[in-house]
Order: sequence, then structure tokens, then C-alpha cells
Amino acid sequence: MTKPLILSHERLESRFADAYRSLRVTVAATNGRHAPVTVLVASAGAGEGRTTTVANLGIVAGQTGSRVLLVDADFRRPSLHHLLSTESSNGSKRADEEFDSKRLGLTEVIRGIASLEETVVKTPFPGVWLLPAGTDLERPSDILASRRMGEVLRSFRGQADLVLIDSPPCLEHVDAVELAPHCDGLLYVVRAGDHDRSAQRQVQAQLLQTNVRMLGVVFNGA
Amino acid sequence: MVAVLSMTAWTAGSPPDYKATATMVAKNPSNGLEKALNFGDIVVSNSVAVRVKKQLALEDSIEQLLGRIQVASGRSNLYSITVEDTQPQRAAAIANAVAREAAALYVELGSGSRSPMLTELDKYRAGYQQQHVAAARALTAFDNAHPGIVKAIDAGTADPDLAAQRSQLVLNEKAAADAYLKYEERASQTRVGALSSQRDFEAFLVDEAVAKPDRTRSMLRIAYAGGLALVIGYGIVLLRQYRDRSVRAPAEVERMLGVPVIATIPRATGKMLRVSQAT
Repeated sequence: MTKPLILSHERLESRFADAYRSLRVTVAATNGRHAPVTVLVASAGAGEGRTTTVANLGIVAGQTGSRVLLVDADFRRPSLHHLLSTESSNGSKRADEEFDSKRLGLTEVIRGIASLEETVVKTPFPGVWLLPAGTDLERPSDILASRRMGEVLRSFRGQADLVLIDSPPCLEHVDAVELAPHCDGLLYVVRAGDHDRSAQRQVQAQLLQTNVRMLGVVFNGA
Repeated sequence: MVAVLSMTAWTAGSPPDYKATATMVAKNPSNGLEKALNFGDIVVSNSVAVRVKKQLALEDSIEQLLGRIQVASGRSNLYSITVEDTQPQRAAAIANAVAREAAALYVELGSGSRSPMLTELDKYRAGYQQQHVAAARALTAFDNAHPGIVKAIDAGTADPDLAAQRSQLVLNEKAAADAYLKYEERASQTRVGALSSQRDFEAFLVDEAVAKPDRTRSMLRIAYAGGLALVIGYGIVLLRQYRDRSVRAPAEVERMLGVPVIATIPRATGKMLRVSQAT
């Protein structure tokens, strides 16, 4: 598994960043005016680059002036806040510290304990906000399958131009399948060199059964 | 690459081979058209190998020992006996032992090739002697049985039958004596010939063997090991490629999932992370 690489300020003009810009344009161009706002990013296994894709796609989208909300729906191993703080452009740990001080997130919003404004964290990247996973992480599948989850995600549409949702690996948990029907589109991440073709097909079939709009595959590490 | 380096290092690190060469002179009485006894053949004969193995108490089999002995000669009587071994002292000891034993066997066989004839001649000597003694006794016994027969024959008064009998006995004795004398003459000639042949079949060590590392062989072994490693490495790569079912290209992903690949994210290498140049 390679170390996640976040697009810090000095890397924004690299060819690596260009690849994410190309992805942003493709996602934005999907269906023209009806571009997806809430996009679920999923993958079959761990370490395929799902969380890195969420972070970097959000960063390049924020660079264009868009309001971007990154949602950490990986209740099993929440890591977006670590990724965005430790690899921030100015080296600050702001998102991480702010998250630690609040310790509130998506689960609190879904349960109605806190509002989005109370839980969202500003990241060091322009235009990029983070909604951490939260603290009440028991029975995450039930939380994700709840009617409230759909309402919360729909409410995000008015708050941001692009909402990118990180999820646990599909081979390990059904969380992404639960989330998919509430999203406008799905980005499926596959890491180059992946061996388990049958597992990939199986996950793909599961996700397509949710009738989510498949935006396409992000082929990572080519 | 790893396979090549490993095998080359392993080969280079393995004990080197040593070569020890003893130089000999082996004289042959033949006229060059037909060699009675070839010294080179004797060097690599089983007899020499058996003697050397016993003398040096070697653990190798005769076949193994012979496989490590090489003999080379030009048109002269000079012969080079080369022995390969992993230990320098043993290589030299074997080469010198082979040279000495081959020389001894050469002379032994060379001089011993006429000895059967001498043995045969010795067997006939007794026969010739007996024949002559018998003929002489018969003549003496006849003369004793007929006293005065010699004078009577000389005077021409002897009984014709008795005179004829004695004449026959005299002829027998003379023939037996002649045969015996001729035998002795031939036997002497044969012995002289054997002695001169023994002097002609001569072999001696000119230069004792001293072991030296066989660098040519070591380099060859390294080259062979490197080549073998390349073949093995290439085979492993081919096998891995054949068995590799991993997804390597976007087109494979599209075929596998039936979904378009909308972005290909490169590996975060130094080149990819450098600021891209405007074109």
C-alpha cells in the first residue's frame, strides 16, 4: 500500500495535480447543467486510493472557487481529517486540532444532535470544508441506512457546490451500498495491479443494483 | 538482475579450481609410422589411475579421477600431464603421481612385451638338452656294446649292419647337438634384443607439477552461471506474466467492469510531482 499523497500548495502545478483536474472537469461535465453535487467515492478493497481521491479531487475543485465539502462516511476507519491536516499546504495541524476540540461530525448531524455548521471543519485548502465521521460510531450501517441520512445528504446540496463522500471498502462493509442511493453519482476507484478481478466485478454489480449513477472509474497508480 | 547477480556472486565465491601440469619425456623405439606403445594412452589408463588412487588414498572413483586427468603431446616426445582439483596440493600430488606411475608402467610394458618369447625359449632349452643327451648316450651305449667297432669301421672290416646302425647314431647325436647350439644362438640374440628394447622404452619426469589457479575455468563458470541465471530469470518473468491476473491498464478495467475509466491517476513519482512545463 502506497502512502497517500495530498496536493499541497507546491504540488498543485504538477502533472499529478493535472490528473485530478482532469477528473474534476470530467465529473463536472457529466450531464451538463445537472452535474452531480453529492458524489460517493467507493472502492472494493482498502488501499486503492479512495480517501486520497476524495481529498485531492476536493482540493483541485476548491482551487476553482467552488465550495467543496468532504464528508468522512468511513465510520470504521475515519482518516480524512488526519490526511488533510498533516499534509496541509502551510504545515498547520488546524483541521486535526479543530476536529479534536469539537469531536463532532456526521453521526451527530444524522442523529440531530448537531447541525452542519457546528460540525464542519475548515481545512487549510481554499474552499474545502470537512465533515468528520463523528463520535457515535456504533452500528454505522443502521445510521447510513436511515431515512435521516438521505435527508442530510440532500441538505448538503444547498450548502456546497460539490460534496465528496468517503466510504469504507465495499468488500469489507456494505456502507457504500447503503450510501449510494442517496448520492447523485458514484466514482469507483481501482488501483493498478489489483489481482482480484472477480471481487471487483462482484462489488461493481452490487453498487449498480442501487441504481446510483456510475460516473466512471478512477484508475489509480497507473 | 537479482538472479544474475546472485548466481555470479555464488560462483565467484565458490572454491576456485587448480591445475597442475607435469612435463614428461617418453621415448618410443617405433619408427613413427606405427607406435608400439602410446605413452598418452598409458597416462589415462585404468592401471595408472588404480595405482595413483591407492598410492594417494584418494576417495574419488577411477572414472572421476580419469575425468580430471588430461594429457597433451606434440610431435616430440614431450608430454604434459594436467590434473584439475579444488585443492592445489592435491592437484600437484596427483599430477606427479600419475607421471611417475605412467612412466613405470610404460617401461614395464615396453620391456615386458618380449618376455613371453624368452619364456617360450627357456621351455625349449630343456627339450634340446634332453634330445642331445639321449643321442649321445645311445651312441656311447652302442660303442660299449660293440667294442672295437670304431676300428673295424675305419679298417673296413666291420659288419655292414652294425656300421650302418652306428652311422645313424652318430648322425642323430650330431643333429641334436646342432639343434641345441642353434637354439642357444637364437636365445642369446633374443635376450640382447629385449635388453636393447628396455633401454629404448624410457620415460622420465622433466618438470614436476606445481598447482596454479585455473582462472579461465573460473571465468567460464561465472559466465555460465550468469547465462543460466538470465535464462532462469527470464523464465520466472515469463511465468509471472503468464500467471499475473492483475489489472495493469485502463482498458482492462473497462473490459472487466463494463464501466468507462474517466481518469487515470499516475503514480506519485518525482517526475509527476515536478511543476509541469507549459507547452
